[in-house]
Order: sequence, then C-alpha cells, then structure tokens
Amino acid sequence: MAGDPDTSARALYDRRTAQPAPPLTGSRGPAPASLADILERVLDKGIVIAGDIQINLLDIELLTIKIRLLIASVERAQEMGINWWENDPKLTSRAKELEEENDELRSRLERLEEVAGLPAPRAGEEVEVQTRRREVIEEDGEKVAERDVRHKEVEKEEVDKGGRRGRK
Amino acid sequence: MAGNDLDPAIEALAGELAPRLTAALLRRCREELREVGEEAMFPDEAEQVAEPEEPVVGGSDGPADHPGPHPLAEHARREAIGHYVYGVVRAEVPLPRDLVGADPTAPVELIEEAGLAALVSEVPLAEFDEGSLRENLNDVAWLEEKARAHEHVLDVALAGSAVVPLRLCTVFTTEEQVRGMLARERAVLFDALGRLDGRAEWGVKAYADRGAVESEALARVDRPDGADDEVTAGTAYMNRRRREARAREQVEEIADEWARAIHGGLAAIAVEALLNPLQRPELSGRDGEMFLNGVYLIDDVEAAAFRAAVATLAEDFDRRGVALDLTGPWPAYNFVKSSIEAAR
Repeated sequence: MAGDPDTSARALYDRRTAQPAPPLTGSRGPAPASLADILERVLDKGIVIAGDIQINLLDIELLTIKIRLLIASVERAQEMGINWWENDPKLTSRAKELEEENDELRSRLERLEEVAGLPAPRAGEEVEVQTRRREVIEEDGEKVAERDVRHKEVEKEEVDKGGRRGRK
Repeated sequence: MAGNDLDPAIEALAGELAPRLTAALLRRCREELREVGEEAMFPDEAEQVAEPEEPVVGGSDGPADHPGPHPLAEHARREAIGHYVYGVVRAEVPLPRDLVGADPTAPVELIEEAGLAALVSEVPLAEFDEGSLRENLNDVAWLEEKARAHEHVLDVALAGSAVVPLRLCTVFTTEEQVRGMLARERAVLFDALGRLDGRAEWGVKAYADRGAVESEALARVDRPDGADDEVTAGTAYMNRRRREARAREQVEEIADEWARAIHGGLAAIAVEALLNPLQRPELSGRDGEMFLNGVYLIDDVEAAAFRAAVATLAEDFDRRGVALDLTGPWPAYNFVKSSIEAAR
C-alpha cells in the first residue's frame, strides 16, 4: 500500500503470512505459521548459548536430522498426526529425489545412532541389547586377570502415538 | 585386615551416598527450620542436589539467625526451577505483563545486566533438565507446543525492539547465571543487536505447479523433426523417451533459473539473503513443489519496497504456474550467527 508508514510496518501484518497489496497469487490469506517454518528456525538457527543444562550435541544433531526428516517426509508427519496438506505426494522425479535424500538421511541417522550406541529399531522389532564391561581382577594391588563381561537381553521395541520409543 | 581393598570401595560408596545423604540432611534441616519459622542459608553446593519442589513457607517473622542472602522459600523454589532464555534485547524494553512462554503458568520477564535484558521465564526442571529434555525433545507434540511458545515470545518482543533470538531450550539454573551470561557475551550481543536494529527477517517460499513446468520444459526440448514420420515405431518410442529425459533435466534447469531470478531480485533489496533447504510442499498446504526457500534481512524502511517486489514477482510468475508465499516479519533467526561470528 503506497504511503505505509514504515515504522508501523510490523504492526500492519499478521506475522505469519504477510499480505502485501496486491495479494499474492494463489495465497489463501493469513494462517498460523507452519510448524516446518517454526522448527527450521528455533531448532536450527538462532544463537547457541551454553546454558547450565547441557544438551548433548550429538542428541541435537540426531534431533535436527529427525526434524529434517519430519519436514521432508510426509509419511512421518502423518504418523505424528500432522496433516495440513491436501494432496498426496505425486510420484515425480523431484519426489523421487526427495525420497532418495530421505533414505540418505535415514542411513546417516542410523550410522550416527550406532556410533552413539543408541539402538534405533522399528516398532515391534525385537532388540538385542548388549552391554559390555571389562573386569579387572587385582590381587595385592597387582592386576592378575582381565575379562570382558557381555550381557545380552532381548527386548521388544515399541513406538507409541507420541512418537516416543520405549521398551517393553 | 585387607585395608587396601576396602578403602577404594568405601570411597566409591561414600561418593554414591553423599548426594543422597545431603538430600536427607537438607530435608531434615528444612523441616526443623519450618517449625521454627526462620529464614536459613544454604551453601551453594547444596543446590546441586535434586529435590522435589516443596511448599513455600509462610513469611519470615523474626530476624534470621543464619546470616545470608537466600530465604528458605526462594531456595526451595530455585532448586526445582530453571530459567529458560528465549532471546536478548536491550535493557528497559517494554514487555506486556501477561506474556507466557514455555511454561504456560509462568510469565516472561526481563533479567537485566550490563545494559542488556534476557527474556526469561521459569520452567520446571522436571521437564527441562538433561534427562527429561532428551525424552521430551523427541515427543513431537511437546516439541511443537514449546517451539510455538518460544517463537511467540520473540514475536511479541520484536514488536517493540530488536531481539537476538536464541535456539530452543537454553536453560540456566539461577538468575545469577543468566546475568553472568549477559555480562560475558555483552560485546557480541550488543553487536548483534546493532546489526538487527530496525530490521526484520522475511521468508519467501516459491512453489511450481508440476504440470506447468513440464509443459514449459517440453516446449523447450521439442524440436521440429520432419523425419519423425518415417522412423519405425521403435525409433519413435526411443525419441520420445529421450525427449522426456531431456524434459526432466529441463525441469530442474527451469526451477533453478526461476529460483535464481526470484532470489536475486529480492537479495538486491535485502541487507542479507540466504537460501535454506527446501521443505516438502505438502506440509505447507500448498499445491505444487517448493523450489525456493529464501530468507531475507530487510530494513524496516525498505519493507514496503520488499513487499512490492515480492508482489511483482508473484504476478510475473503466476502465469508460469508459480506461487509465492511471503512470511514475516520474523526475529532474525537466520541472521544472528553471522553477527556473532563477525563480532568474534
């Protein structure tokens, strides 16, 4: 709008979808900001200042990858009950590319989780959890023997509605 | 007596028991003091012990026997509470009274130090300590709630002044630590605020209707080929497949071309412009495929020109089956890192 006082530029707009005049082609009007828009900012951008609560950087990296998968993956979003869109994904070469990207991200995720010692099985899968511990047996302050103790347990992996993993 | 073997074991056990004993001791202390109704001082070390939140004691009546700055009530409260920092503004910026954030029962307040103010609200450590965060951050419902609350606080702050947004879940256990952070990062934060004064971030996402792009691609690829009539069915088939493959490549080239045109046009008006990874278009409720996800740092005085430029581009590209989504103004999430790094 010609003659807009620029100092009140912010006040004139719904923050989430700004509507300049003339209206944008095909736009439907102001709507709450998409979760993708918010998450890609609050999780991935902004200043990082170390608070007292130290979130393990590996956890954040895993989380960021997961969120990118969420933003990039319709199926995952559906699992979460997020469904603002109306069309089913069409199988186009671009969509295939995105699928490949997702697969790549998933393998990265799995590799990272492996490295971090975090198991990432699917729902219903049986998980074998192996713990290892090295025992050192000493006599009179001298090491006489060492052994690796391995303990295996089989558990079943469950994923609940909230996307939380748990073991039953 | 095998003293050698026993000592390390005793040490280890003592180490394990110490926090529990301290907690038990604190509880007894608190109970006794509550009966007497006096204020008490606890050493800072005791704050490390995790305690369930206990009811606040009624106001102190008499002079405290124990010297020290921490009343019992404040200490009990502090143990269970963290201070969640959303962002940083200059000190004495006005803030609405009823603004809440990550905890809907706690108001957002300013903690001031060194001319800066941190936007902070109290959060229960039961929800926000390391262990809980790991679990909660993986719960999308929890994450969505907290992400929207976080953004809302910064949004409100942005209406009044420049704000340096922090990433989600920056939590300190005491107010003193928040002040310490402001003092420590003072130079960098002032520099960032200076770069963001009178500016805001805007986002432009562009979507292309697949059919429209493919038509354009085929049009570019098709060449008059008089010999088509005379080739065998097999050759005609192969020719068509080749054309389709070239059309697919063309689609990518076209998307690139358009993205560069739009981004370039907007970057020219912006203080700074960045390209972000594409989102799946279905998540935005839009038809078509996203081919541009750009963010732009715009001076408020240029905001009208920027919006007009987006509108003009939208008109130009509409006939090509492209839709543009403008969002903003946002706190400058995408443009603070460069500020911080420039200052360092």
